[in-house]
Amino acid sequence: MSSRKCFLCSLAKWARKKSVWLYHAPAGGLCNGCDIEIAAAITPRYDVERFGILLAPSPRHADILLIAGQMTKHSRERLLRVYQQVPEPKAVVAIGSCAISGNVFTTDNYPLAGTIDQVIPVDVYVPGCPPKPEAIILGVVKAIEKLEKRTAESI
Amino acid sequence: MKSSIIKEALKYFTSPVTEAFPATKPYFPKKYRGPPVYDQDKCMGCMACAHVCPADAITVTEKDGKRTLEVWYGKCTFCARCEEACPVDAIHLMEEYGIPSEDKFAFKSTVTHDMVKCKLCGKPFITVRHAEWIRKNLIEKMGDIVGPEEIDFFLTVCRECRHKIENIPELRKLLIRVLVKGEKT
Repeated sequence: MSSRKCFLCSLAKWARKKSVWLYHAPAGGLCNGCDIEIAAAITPRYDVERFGILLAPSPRHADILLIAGQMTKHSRERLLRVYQQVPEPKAVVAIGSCAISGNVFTTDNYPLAGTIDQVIPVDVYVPGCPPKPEAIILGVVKAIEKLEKRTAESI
Repeated sequence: MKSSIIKEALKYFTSPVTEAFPATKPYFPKKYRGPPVYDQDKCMGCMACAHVCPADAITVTEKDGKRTLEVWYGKCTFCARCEEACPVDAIHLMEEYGIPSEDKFAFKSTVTHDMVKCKLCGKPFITVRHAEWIRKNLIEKMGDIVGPEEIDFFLTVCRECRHKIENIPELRKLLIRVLVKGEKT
């Protein structure tokens, strides 16, 4: 599979590394603190657009999926659908304590359907309540490394 | 108020607002609450932090006569209640952000303590440092009522054994003495 080396393949590999598009999916129950920090990471102060990182309006255009908040029973199905719509290769970043463990709400709360990694394979975890924009940027950089590996495997 | 807004507005004409993030140290505002971290030298393992933690991020495990306290940042709310509750200032919120990782159990801070065994039943029930701290404070505040031998006895007997019938008369004597002293003052 990896023996094929064409100009277009290497161009696609380079382009995917140099311009990563993100899709931000809030998973049901969350306080919007992490969403605001993601929005803060694309403001002029941190300006991730200089690295080519953009927020995509649709999961079909995205390379990396950002998930914030703990998953509810209603959002579980939608989250799975969003994950399936992201084209391969893809990476998933869980942002905030809620996405990692459920935080103060615990996982056996009646409207919640467990943590995100029980349903979707998560690549990078970003701790914080909410995480600083710097931590989110570092998390995306780690996800890009994973994405690069997967691109090399798929070409 | 007004002058601060003008100052902020003038910044936009002087230098770029974008932080050169990976190269420069990030800005932390005053009273910033980052991940809590234990100080092994100061901590005495009294579990006050674990009792007040609203998210149950601090877990206590007792194994082989050792007590381990562990903060998992994956569950922590960074509310600083552990810092408020700590009687010896052994837990502090760092001026740092959580570093992302591929393993969600990677981010944590732990502290381990040796425990004292009960004189009667042999079960470990309190940490060595906590017992020392209680002894010091009791002698300081109630030294005239309670003798050091009594304190030593009650700090080496666990709660279950203290509640047994044969130990109750002694405890009752002590309680009456404390109450009488309290009524006088």
